[in-house]
Amino acid sequence: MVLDPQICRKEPPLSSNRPTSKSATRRERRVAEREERRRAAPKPSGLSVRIPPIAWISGAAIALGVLAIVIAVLASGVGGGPSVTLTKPAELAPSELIDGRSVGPADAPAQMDVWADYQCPGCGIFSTDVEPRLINQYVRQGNLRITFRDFAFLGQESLDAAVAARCAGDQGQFWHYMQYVYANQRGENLGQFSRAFLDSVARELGLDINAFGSCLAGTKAKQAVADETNQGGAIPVSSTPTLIVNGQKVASLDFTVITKAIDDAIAAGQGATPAPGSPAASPSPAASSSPAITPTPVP
Amino acid sequence: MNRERTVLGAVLTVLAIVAVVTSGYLTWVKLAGIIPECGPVKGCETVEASPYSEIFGIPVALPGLLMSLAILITVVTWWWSGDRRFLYVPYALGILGLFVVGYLTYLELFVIHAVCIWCVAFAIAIVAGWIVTLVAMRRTAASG
Repeated sequence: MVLDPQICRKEPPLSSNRPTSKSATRRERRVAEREERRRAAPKPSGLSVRIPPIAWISGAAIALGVLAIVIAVLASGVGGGPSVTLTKPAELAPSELIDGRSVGPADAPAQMDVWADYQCPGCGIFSTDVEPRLINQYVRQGNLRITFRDFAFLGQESLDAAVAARCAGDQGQFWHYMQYVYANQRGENLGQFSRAFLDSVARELGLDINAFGSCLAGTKAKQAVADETNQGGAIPVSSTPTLIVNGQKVASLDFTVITKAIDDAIAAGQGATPAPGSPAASPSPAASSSPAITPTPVP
Repeated sequence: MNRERTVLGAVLTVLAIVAVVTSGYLTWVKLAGIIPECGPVKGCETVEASPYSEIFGIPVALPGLLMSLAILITVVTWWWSGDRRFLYVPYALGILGLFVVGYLTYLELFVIHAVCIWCVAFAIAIVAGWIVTLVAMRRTAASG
């Protein structure tokens, strides 16, 4: 620190015969001089202000925290969650045969309702293996109409997938969305059907992602899933998948049993029977045999 | 060593150990491909299996483990030495941790729809540790 020479010159002589009062005066002068120097000194610029360590440490930590979040969000894909590797269904149903949540003509003699949960393994096998065969064998010929029915009971991810499929249905892509979900099954409630996954399928199918997101956030699709699941409970659906052909529960999930039920329905020409599986349809007594697909029982 | 530092140092050390153990466990199960033990509380397997549990191919718990270890080392050093400057590290990392656990908790609640008990324990340890660090810094400043 450099002292102002002018102020130094004002320093009075040290000699005094009244030490107490003199020293008191000197102290007062020194205080006044210090105050004057402080006023006279140029005001420090912003750069020369001494920043306490706690301030810059806090600032740096906050900046790093914000940076960490930005990186995490970017790594997740902007606004869309992390990138997800999707398995494409081996055989997507022909678009010309799809009618909302059904595939096949509305006046087909055999009407099959498939009550299913998106996480049930048997439903996955039915979707990826049995359904394509039924489509090729019956639906293409106009003899069968398959309708998907929600019976979401295995947990939050079942509900989320069911809602997402219905939201895809709002954009005309229910069936293919459903096929994608089943093609990507991986255990129950393990995080597979996360929002990131659901969004990825929507993107894969070219859906309007904003409309899709709004639908997911809304209550309409959720309520529809809940309502249909309740309807299934009234039939009652005691395991998934439950197949109902023209109002009759299919006794087994064995492919030959399924095709026999369809053949019988076609032969009986019962295409105009009440909507199978609907609450109005009379439930048939459950029967069991050795199924090709292991059904998931409803607790 | 004064009594206040003894108590604060012990609390900070315990919280840092909790953070190390929880993040270490989550790192280990992710690397080993094991479903984490959740006990009666469900949800950690969902969180652990979700795509958000890793970033750039590494378990998201790994940076948490490294951060917790740094906090533990500096807290113990402060506890023994009394040098207040060592508290700057848990203080700064605590702020960083607040952002990270805040974001991860948001993901659990609103995106993954599952809550991981291990992640909750880690978050509590980080938040509580930062608050106790603040107290320690104020007390040590006050005592000179």
